[in-house]
Amino acid sequence: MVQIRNFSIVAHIDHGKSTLADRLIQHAGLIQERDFRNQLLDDMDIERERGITIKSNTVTLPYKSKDGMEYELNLIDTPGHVDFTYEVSRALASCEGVLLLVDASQGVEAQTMAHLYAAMEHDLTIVPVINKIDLPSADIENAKRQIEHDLGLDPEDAILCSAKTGEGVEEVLEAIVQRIPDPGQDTESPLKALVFDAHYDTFRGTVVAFRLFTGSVQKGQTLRFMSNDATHHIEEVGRFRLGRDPVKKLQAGDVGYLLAGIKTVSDVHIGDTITLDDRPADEALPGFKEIKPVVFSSIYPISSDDFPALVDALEKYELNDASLVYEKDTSVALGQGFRCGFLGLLHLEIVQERLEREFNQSIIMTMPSVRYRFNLKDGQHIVVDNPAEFPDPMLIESAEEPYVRITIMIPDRYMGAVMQLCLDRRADNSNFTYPVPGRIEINFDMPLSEVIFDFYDRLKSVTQGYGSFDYEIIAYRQSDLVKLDILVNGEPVDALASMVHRERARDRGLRVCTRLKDEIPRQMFKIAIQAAIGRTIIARTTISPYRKDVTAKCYGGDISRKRKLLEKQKKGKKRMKMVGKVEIPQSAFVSVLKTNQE
Amino acid sequence: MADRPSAKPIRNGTGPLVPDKPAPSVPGLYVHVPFCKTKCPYCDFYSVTTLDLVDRFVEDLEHEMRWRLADAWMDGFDSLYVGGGTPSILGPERLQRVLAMLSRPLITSPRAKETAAPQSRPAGRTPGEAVAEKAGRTTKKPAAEGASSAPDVEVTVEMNPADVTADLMAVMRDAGVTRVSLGVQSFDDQELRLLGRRHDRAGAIAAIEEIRKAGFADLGLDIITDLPGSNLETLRRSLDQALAFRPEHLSCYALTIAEGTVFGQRQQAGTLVLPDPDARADQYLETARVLEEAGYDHYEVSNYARKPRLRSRHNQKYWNRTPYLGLGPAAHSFDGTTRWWNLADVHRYHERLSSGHLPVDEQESIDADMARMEQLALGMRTAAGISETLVQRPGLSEVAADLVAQGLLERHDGRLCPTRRGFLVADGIAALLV
Repeated sequence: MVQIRNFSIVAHIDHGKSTLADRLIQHAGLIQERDFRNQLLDDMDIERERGITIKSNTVTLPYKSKDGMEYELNLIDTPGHVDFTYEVSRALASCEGVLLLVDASQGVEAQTMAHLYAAMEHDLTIVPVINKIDLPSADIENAKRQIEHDLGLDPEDAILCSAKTGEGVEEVLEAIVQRIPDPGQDTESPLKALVFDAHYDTFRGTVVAFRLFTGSVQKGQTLRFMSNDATHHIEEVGRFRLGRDPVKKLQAGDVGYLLAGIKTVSDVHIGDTITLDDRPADEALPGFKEIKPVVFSSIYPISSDDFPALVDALEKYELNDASLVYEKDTSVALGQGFRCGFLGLLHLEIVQERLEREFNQSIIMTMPSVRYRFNLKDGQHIVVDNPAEFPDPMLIESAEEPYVRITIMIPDRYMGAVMQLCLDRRADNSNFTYPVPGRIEINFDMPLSEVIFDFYDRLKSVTQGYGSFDYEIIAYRQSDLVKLDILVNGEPVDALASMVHRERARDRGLRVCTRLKDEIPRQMFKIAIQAAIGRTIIARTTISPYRKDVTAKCYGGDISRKRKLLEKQKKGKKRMKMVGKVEIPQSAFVSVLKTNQE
Repeated sequence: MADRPSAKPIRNGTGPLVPDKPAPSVPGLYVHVPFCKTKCPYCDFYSVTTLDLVDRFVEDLEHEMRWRLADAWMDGFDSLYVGGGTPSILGPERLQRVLAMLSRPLITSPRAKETAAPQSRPAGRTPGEAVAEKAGRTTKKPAAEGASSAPDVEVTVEMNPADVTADLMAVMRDAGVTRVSLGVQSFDDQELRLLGRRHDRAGAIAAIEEIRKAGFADLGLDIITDLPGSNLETLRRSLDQALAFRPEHLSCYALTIAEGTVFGQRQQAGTLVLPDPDARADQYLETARVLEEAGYDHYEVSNYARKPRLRSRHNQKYWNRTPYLGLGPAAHSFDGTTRWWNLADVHRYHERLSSGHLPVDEQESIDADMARMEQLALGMRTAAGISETLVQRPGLSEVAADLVAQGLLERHDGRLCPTRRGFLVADGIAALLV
């Protein structure tokens, strides 16, 4: 009888999560030494580059313990960013335990705490692992002390290991099978399985990653998603090895995948419960939430000729990202494009980068926005997430913006800096608690629009990475909103327009103007960049023209050289957007979005 | 100079925008002499200092020319330009031999003209027409150009002031050279040292006097502006000294730092600092102002002629896309539809020729789009500008109209011609209209 263990690895960034995962996979013999590459579970280029996990990956590792028992260890990978909190919670809900990694030289960090709390919320068994003990700077005693004091765990439970050298990895595997509980094998009850991930396979359609709690499932049965009662014929079930490994049947306790000819990932909802159509469960597993986009921005091709290619790219992209929603949009300056909804700013950046890299699109994204409500004088209530639809100010009775309750956990020495950051962002209704000595948990109400921009990055920067952060949307509140226009040589650039609180308008306007001044190259004419509310200019910068660009010599008869220079300039123009006669490079639009480079 | 366009755009030069003679259309012949006694630290033209290879080069050149002469398009040239490198390095004997050889494919050498009347040419089509037909343009028959005093051919030799001797000038005179282009670069000893030149101020002046004494009535001087430490005052002094000799032609090149040169390295290391961009723009405008005030015709970005008829016939061919044949390493050629260039390596040039191959490095055929780009890029560098038909495309006519309104272009007889300020941003204008 093969035993099962379901677990996840959680850690502060750079504490060695991917390396340990790689080592466990290697140890299980799933991969030969020569095929080994780092971050095995992180498929995407962006993940490798940024060292983060965007899509979670799961792998089932065969393991024979020291006492001779056979195990299947399901390692469920989790994404590591606040934009994907919900996905993380569903992945954790599929486990019975976690390996909580602590870097032997860095000790306990902010995210270590946050992960601990998340794991505790799901009643998971926590196995502390002190990693990187091979480092000269490793301070195991200090790490143990912090595990005891900061995390409230027994330091003697901590396993010492070096994922890099492989030392202690065997002990980690033993701890997984010894300490993490058996998931239980109630195979008789009706099927209840939790969807914790889905991705797209070009040949087979959507691959649903799920964890079975009760019952069993096999090929040929008809599944039912309990959130919307959609049914699908199951074509294949199996386990994740490094690829997909079909099996006859999966049952309670197992983690695996199923294929059911599901055309797009959007048809599958993370957190949904799968049951069988002919013998359904009475009720779904708890915790399902519909994922709603909170940040909106439009995507346009740089060259309007490329619109059909963008349509194609988005359709393909959408297959693999259920969180992205979009609809057609049109801009005076930018032509046809799409209005898109994202989970957060990181999600937006990821979509942008993947469209550019994997789908080879040259795109411009407009200023991100949250969804505002306007109560008009004629009694109408409208919802606006696109500055282009900002109502005539004369018609507005009142406006509201979404607020979130934020939770920040920091060492108390950063208290002052974090308070300042929050108050600058219109935060109020504060509350402080001290869960452990030296650590403080801060709660604030804050406009979501202040959070989505660069709040998380700023927080990380003022707390040197120690700040952990989460938020939930609480309510809409009255707000004095204005539309901030950006004009280039007197022409409004609708991609750069935004809706902001009146008090923040000048600040934001000046920032955009300055950023554009840095990014738009000097041209043959003077360029005026202005920020305006209605007809009132509230900020302004100027780019003086270059006066000379001509090359002195034509290099004798070498005309090809001259022509090639011109061809290069022409090519460069494809990455430029003309506003009036001003060429705005794509990088200018991108840089305006990145408000975090102070 | 203000950034805003002046109400009245500055006119180019004093002469007519379009020369009183038709633009050259008979092909030109260029020879690259890839040798220098010393390498100048700013120059990125191909040359070597291994002077023991000169004799072999002369043999190779003759070989290449004979070969090319067999081509149909070698019917005749009305300009010859011997450049480099340093052609004057050849010395009297070799220069004499090279010039004699190169004069053969010229339509009518001045010497030949004294003895043979134009009518004695073979009947049928004139030599230039063959190329012209290939290039798809109509040729004005050289014979019909008329004016008996005007030489039928322009023969230019580039000279280093340090090489000018009475002997050499006499040889050149007798060989039919009509025009001397003298690489003076500066009249300031300190600047000349910085430029690594072999001559000083006194040498430059002596060379000019020697050339005049030998009877050359068409002298062009090269001047370099924008040198480190230069300003409007040093520039004016330099120009005044050049003007004192009333040269028929002036090329005033702004110092351009090329990658791979000594200056390139020094600029990267921060030990060579050019005047700032505004100062460079001011030097350019001042050069144009001073020379135009002295009566010179500003007919190309960096080129000025004392009279429109004294414009460099040969160089204009590069700019108005007249065919030309280039001989010697690194020389470029254009036959109206194809461009090619020779290997920029004196050894490989030799090997190729001795193994029975042409020393061509690469070639490319010019399609309609490429031709249009060339017309734009080159046209914006000349007072003659471009034909308006070139920008009669959706979106572009508005841009052109705007450039006219900005005082960067002027309309003349269906052409768009850059103003003095337009010359300054000729590259940008071409990019806007591409």
